[in-house]
Amino acid sequence: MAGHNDWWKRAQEELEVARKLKATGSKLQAYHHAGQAVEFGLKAIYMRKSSLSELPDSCKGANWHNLTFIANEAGLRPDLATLRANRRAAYENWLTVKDWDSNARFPGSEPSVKALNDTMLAIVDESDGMMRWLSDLYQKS
Amino acid sequence: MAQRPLSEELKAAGLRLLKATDALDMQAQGAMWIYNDLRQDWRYYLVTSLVDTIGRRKTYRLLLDAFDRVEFPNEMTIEDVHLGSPSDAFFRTISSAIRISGAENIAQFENCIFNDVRFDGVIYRAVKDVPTARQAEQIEKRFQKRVKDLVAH
Repeated sequence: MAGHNDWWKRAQEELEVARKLKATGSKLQAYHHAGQAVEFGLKAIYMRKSSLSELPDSCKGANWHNLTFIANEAGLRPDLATLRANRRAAYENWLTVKDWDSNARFPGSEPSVKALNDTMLAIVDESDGMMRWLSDLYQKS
Repeated sequence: MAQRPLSEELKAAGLRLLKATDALDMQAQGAMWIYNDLRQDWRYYLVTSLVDTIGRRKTYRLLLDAFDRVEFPNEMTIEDVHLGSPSDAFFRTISSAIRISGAENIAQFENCIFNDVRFDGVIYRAVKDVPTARQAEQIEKRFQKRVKDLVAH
């Protein structure tokens, strides 16, 4: 049984993998793992806030790779409104990250180098990156 | 066919949003609502070469600045906008099949299959030709200047 802490741990591992891959120049793979870090982080918050001992089967469809959908299910609308009002750079990062596409890993669907770099930065940035923001939300949830 | 049809309000709002970005010289190559049968939601795509030149983050920053100052449709927020690149596989397929270059016509389709996924769509613009590097640079400069001027006044 994988609880919210397991999902959060996996989110951190995905982030670390993304950082290492980026350092070796594997940008597309780094993009995929960084996006998965956000997806798993959002799911950990959803589970913790909903007091779920594991992620139900009903949470495994295509929508559950859609970051906006998961954020809504996790009740993060007020947090996003606060982000927009008070932390503009972080909110810009959310807008960028919400367009992450889990299908971009497939041949023929690769984003441009600029798009890959932008998404990575929006996720891993130490002060305004989405993983930093999600970490704060996870600790509070 | 979409389980939840796109409302007439959102259909009209999508066109107004495109016109608002045209007024800012954004010169979007594509604008459309797409319903993905797997995701079961409608998503508004704004396709622009800016994603590949100044990047998605800076483009959203400029759009946010503009959203704060000019009249955008009340029915939509910036979070309804999903930026796409003219080189995205899905957009390349659509712009190969449908060509709409103005901002007055709307093409609608139902039950189209792409990569085994069923889609519905409301398309306001789909221009196949990807801007050259020089054209993309000009789009970038004009759009940044228009937003900068808007913020300054």
